[in-house]
Amino acid sequence: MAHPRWDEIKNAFHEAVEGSPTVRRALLERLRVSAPDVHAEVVSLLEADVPPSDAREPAPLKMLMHVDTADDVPRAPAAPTPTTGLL
Amino acid sequence: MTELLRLWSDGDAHARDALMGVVYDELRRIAARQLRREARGESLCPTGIVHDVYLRLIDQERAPAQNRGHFFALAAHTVRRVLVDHARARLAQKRGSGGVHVTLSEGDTPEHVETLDVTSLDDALTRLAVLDERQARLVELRFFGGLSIEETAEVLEISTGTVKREWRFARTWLRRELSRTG
Repeated sequence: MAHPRWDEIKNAFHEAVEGSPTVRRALLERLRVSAPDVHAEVVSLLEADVPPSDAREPAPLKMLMHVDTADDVPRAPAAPTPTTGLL
Repeated sequence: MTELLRLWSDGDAHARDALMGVVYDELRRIAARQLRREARGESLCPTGIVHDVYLRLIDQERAPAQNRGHFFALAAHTVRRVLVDHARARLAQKRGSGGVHVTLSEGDTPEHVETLDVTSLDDALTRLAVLDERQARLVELRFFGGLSIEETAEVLEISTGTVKREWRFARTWLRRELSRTG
């Protein structure tokens, strides 16, 4: 049976992966309050959207991540790395 | 190619043979690039897969497709069906010995080959088709048909940007589904 909010989930996923970390946090917070089922789906998908080098990925699934990654949509910029103990 | 398909549609067997001559190498390229069985070190010969696909495609008096895009969509679907049939037959023969696996052989050396049970992927794709038929077709074209982003966009009549976004989502969704069932 089709998910009644499939389009909403897809749009939120795209917005999350293409937006900045700030945009992603705000989006997820908004969904958490207004649409918990969509929020849960998007969070679950974002967890699956991991870089190919991530060691947590089960080996048989790596190939799904290695398909033409060069012509993929670029990943969202990474959050800035905190600088600690340097000053 | 579209003209050959049209002639085949009119019952011209020579056009069918000519078309198959044109696409055979392309089908073989797809198979050689993408299909591999990883079971006890055996490799499924791409030629065998292409032969099965070829036979299924020509086993019709009338052309099964109206244009090039439609033809490659059909070829991709046929590759999927051939692989799944091989996997199920093998499973029935020797239950538990491991199914047919597919991979994109970007690295030819064994240590770089990653595999995936084709029956699990087929099941997940069927579930995806219920949710989003276009995404399932897109995966079929990209994964089983070996079509590029541009070719996929042409077949589905959508922009390359949309293909990229949909492909990323579909891959992520499938990865999550397969990790749940695997």
